[in-house]
Amino acid sequence: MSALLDQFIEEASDLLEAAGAALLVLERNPSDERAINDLFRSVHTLKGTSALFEFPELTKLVHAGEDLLDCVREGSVPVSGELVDLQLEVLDVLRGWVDYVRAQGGLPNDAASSSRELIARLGAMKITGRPTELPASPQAGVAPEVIGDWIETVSERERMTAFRAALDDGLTVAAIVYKPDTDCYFRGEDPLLTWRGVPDLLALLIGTVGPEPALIDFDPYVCRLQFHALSTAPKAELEHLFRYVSDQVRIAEIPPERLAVPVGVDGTDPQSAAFADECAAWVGAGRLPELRERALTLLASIDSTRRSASALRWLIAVIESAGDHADWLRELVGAVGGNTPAAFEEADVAVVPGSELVDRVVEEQRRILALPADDTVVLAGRIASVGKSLANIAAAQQAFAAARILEGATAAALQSNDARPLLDALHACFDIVSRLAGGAAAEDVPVSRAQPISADGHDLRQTRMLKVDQAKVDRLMSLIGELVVAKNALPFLARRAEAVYGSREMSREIGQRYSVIDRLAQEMQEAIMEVRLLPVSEVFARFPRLIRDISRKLDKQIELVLEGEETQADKNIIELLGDPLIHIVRNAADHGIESPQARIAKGKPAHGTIRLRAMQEGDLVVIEVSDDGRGVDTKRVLAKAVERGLINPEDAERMTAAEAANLIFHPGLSTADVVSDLSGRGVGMDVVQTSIRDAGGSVSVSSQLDVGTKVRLALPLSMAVVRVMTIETAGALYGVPIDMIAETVRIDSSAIREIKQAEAFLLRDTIVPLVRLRKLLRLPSRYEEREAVLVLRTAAGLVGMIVDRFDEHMDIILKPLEGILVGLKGFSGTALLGDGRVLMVLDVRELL
Amino acid sequence: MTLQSAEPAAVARRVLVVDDARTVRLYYRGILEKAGIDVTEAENGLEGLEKAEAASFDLLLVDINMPKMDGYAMLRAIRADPTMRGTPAIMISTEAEGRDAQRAYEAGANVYLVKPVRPEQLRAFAELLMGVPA
Repeated sequence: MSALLDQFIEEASDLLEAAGAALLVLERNPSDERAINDLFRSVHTLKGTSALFEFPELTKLVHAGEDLLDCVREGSVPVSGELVDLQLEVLDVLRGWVDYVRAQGGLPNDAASSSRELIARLGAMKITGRPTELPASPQAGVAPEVIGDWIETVSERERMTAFRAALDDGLTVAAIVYKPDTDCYFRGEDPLLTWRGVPDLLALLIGTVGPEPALIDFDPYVCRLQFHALSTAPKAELEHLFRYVSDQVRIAEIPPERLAVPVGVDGTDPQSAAFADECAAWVGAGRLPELRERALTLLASIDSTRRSASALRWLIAVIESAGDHADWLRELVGAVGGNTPAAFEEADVAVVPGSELVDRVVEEQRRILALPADDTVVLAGRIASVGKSLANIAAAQQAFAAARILEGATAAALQSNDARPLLDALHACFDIVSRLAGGAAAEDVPVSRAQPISADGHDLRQTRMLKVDQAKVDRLMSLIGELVVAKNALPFLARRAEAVYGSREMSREIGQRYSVIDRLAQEMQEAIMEVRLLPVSEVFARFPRLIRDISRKLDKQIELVLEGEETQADKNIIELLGDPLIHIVRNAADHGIESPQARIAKGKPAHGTIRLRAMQEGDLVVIEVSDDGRGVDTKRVLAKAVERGLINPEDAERMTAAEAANLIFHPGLSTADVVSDLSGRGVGMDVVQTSIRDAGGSVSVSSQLDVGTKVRLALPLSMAVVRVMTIETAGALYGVPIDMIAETVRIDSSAIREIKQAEAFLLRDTIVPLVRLRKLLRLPSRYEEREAVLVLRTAAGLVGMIVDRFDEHMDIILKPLEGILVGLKGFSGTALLGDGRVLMVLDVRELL
Repeated sequence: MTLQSAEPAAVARRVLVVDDARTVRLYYRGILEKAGIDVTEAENGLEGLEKAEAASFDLLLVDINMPKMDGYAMLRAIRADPTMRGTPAIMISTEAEGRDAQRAYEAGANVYLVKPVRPEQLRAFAELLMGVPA
């Protein structure tokens, strides 16, 4: 994939996101001019950019969307819910396509059909809002090839009809040439269907481009058709109709005389020749009724397939039409006699001048100078830039004398504040220039489609921001992670230096070096982490849309408040937050917020509020989702929990409201049928809990019936490096994440109280249950006089875990269990230690 | 008045590309640099104006619809400044000729092109306006 396409994908995603956000703002406040301008600009930029690539469906769809937005901007189409819905749908489709392009390098197969369908709907919405009106066609002016020989192949009868419509009814006759792209069928374009929609079609010629291929070479999927047609519909209307294939269609108004071309078998007869001789003078003498009589008489007596007969018929038609067409009649009279009318020949020869590029640019400079200027500053600017451009053009043609003349004229014009000297020089020089240049450099100027772009030597030299492939940052991160681990070898080395080699000094030196490396590694790690930091707004951005969709679907009024969007966290964390947050927010909107009627009945404002708040607390990023909905009915939660045997009735009675509310995270209670009807909490809160915990975070809920619910997610700012405390048990080393550990205590075995089969101890007036790691890991038991207890924080409160020995703290890169170890319960992963040993990191929650 | 522009110059021509679309800037840059032209980028009219004031350019390539300051406003400001007003400018936009072309010329463009612009087309116009022999 080329760098340019990569850039496009990235930019298109940004633009679509910006457009989506602006659209939502606009919906809330339809008169927000900034939002509509932002929206329009995003779409507009996307259109311009996409045209650099061969994604016609995408470009056309964006174009159609922009068309409609233009109407909105002008105020001719109001901002309605339907409009926003449709535009959002378009944005979704476009986003999908951009993703597809990212993955596959091209548009999906159904792009053409969905593009067409959406374009039709956009068009319909636009038309219902205002009459068709289009900016000037891309091919403003009569393009020479539109009106060509083909007109003569349109049957005389059809041309006659068009002719009469033009002269008698005052209509304009448009010539339409439509050459569909050979792959048009794959883009969902149906040329025939398009023609069916063309109003006032007078003639339609269907032919093939080039000779018809041999039957064996015929490919039904390749469109080789070309169409020529005449219609009396207004040009603007036709252009509107063909706007999505405007690059394949040319439309021009035909002067009626171009229709009046005599055709037929060549050859003269004495009668016709005599007519031509005799009647040539009648036109000038105004003897038109007589001329008509003579023509009718002659027409009846000669072979009607002759060209002269055709000329007679046209002659009659021109006479019958009102108006002064003397020259024309003379030509036709001559044509009856067998002359080829000169005017018709000339009209066919639409010769493009040789150096079209120069001519065109010079002509534009002339036009610029001729523009009215009511301000001397504006005029001076124009003279200066036109003068400079003209001199440069002359220089480009190696006409240095002309360049000098033009520069002199520019100076004179500037001095007198009058464009005339320069205009004179332009006329004088560009004859000289074109003579000198000798019509060289026949450049193809008309604007047309872009060629597919190859990655030819683009290099990215963005100055302010550096866009880096995510994989590169990830690699840096994993390298620094390894460095952090590798440096952990130094303390081991220091100890060995002293213990094995007896060199205390060496040990100290290694220790000093270690502290330097440690500091550098830490700084480096922080710097790299910073690169990976993303604002929470990345996740929050999707919620306005989500809430909007839900509230429209459920007929609720919900206001979303976002706070602390600028809070940053590691990209992994940000990415991981997405799904659980959607879950929680959807639940809040779906089950938490009541219907407006119910809310009013409870004395609450009709519209509910969901608040998403992000903040940093120490090295945690905390996200709170609160709503002012119906809250969790803890009594019913407890009743259900007891009924399902999840807790026993005694526990249920002792549970605080907070504890009860947190039961909704219990897998056994997190099913739709149970929870949504009884607690206002939806499906799968246990899934939320699991994924947050897997990232080393925690989730809790607090709720008050009919007041609201608040779910709080706390996650580490980064999950790449985990700080663990190592402990020794039964000769092996284990790691426990530091953030799980409340404290470490040593207790006398006498302080352990036995409660039934379980053990507990008293920690500052709190009874803390005790577990033994050896027992949990099914290792041989061992009892000591003084036990080392890790006090762990768990969802159910503090738990003491007896281990053999505490060891040190260290930073590790946690690697998930792989291969056959995946099924191993009780471990969250492994880490390599500096001395080459493997540390097993305990998953305390799973163990307990 | 000196005639520097009239002699084939050894120094690279300098173009200021002003467009809010990164991809478009990259596209122009690729085309122009291949032709040995120096390219400076600006992402809106305001930045374009600042950059045009800071250094001299042989040609301006300006988009119309941009945030902060659009292409019209930028060109008007350039044309009103005695030191910059002579710099030829190509205005490029997605709108078909007509109303917009007129506005572009009024604002100070010397050539108005409609996107998408083909590489050889852009190069031909740019070189012509900068006096580079074909």
